[in-house]
Amino acid sequence: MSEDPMIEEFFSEVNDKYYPQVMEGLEMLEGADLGEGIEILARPLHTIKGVTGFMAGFEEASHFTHKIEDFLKKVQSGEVASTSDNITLLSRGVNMIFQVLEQLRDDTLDEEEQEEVLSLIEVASSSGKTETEVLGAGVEVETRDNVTIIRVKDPRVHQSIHFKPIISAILGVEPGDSILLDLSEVLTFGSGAWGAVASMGTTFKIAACNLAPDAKITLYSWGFDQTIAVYPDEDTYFTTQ
Amino acid sequence: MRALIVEDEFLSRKVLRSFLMTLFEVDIVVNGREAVEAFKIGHAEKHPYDLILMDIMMPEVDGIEALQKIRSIEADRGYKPKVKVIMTTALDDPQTVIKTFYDGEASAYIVKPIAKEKLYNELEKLGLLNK
Repeated sequence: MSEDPMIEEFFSEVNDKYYPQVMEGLEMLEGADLGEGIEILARPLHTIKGVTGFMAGFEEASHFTHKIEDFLKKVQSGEVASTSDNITLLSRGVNMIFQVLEQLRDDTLDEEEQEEVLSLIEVASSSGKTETEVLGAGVEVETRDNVTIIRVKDPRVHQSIHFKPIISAILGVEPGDSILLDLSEVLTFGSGAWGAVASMGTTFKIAACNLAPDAKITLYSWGFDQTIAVYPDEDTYFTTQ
Repeated sequence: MRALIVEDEFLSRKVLRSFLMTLFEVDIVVNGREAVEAFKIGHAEKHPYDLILMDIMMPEVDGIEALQKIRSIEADRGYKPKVKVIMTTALDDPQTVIKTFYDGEASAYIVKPIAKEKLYNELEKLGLLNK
């Protein structure tokens, strides 16, 4: 693998330039100078992410570094609070990039530890949200021609906090009755959320309308269209009943 | 959304424009010097580019140099977010790739020939395309 000139060149840059810079950035991060530490880390991390994308066999490193870079940006913007726990996690993630690079070069990748760091990052990224997002915007329920229409108000339906109100609304309907989900205010709808709704599809007749492209792709790619009928809009639904 | 194509070759310009015109309001310039000018005008008009697609090998000011100028203007004037820049080039030698990401902070790098799928994949990763 080390025959590849890109890999040779890259590792020499890592050793001579990026690693020392990152160490300097990490020191500042853990000291008093968070902002400057992040600034220093940003460039070598971005370069590692970009260049590893060009190195056969190092895609995993590009992917991992991307996640760490995202987390770094979230701490920088304040979307993730710069608590000492989060900074420690960030440092661990950054350090781990070099570990992943070495492991890929030596063909000894430890995916478990990577996964652990990534899942901690995911938790840290979602717990910093504002209260309204955590609570979720919920749903509005109305009936038309014996059909219960559930209008979903959250623009992004991924976590249980977002889709639980939908499930509760579905459970308030008589089994066997028809339900129409109006997703006109929804931009993305996660596979887990679709799965939860689809699991009700044997008890209720569930349809969805006004799907945004992303929400639609997720629905079809997971095959949930077998239990959830899709209509372009509300009127089309009622004229075809 | 606005996109700027920076490309000195006629055929490449034509192809890239056809890929982007359904998604963006597209402007085209032919070298790095004009790219920096167009970037400044975009901001002066309060309607900056969302995407710059730039070749590396160009006469006068090359792509990496133009990108560095753009990044330094952004830093000096505090423009945020930084414009997303995809470098499009036939060069994929290690030094050029590394320099593009490190010195130019490019968002992505596509090696020519540019297929629509390859470009759209990058646009999707950058959050500029919802299929």
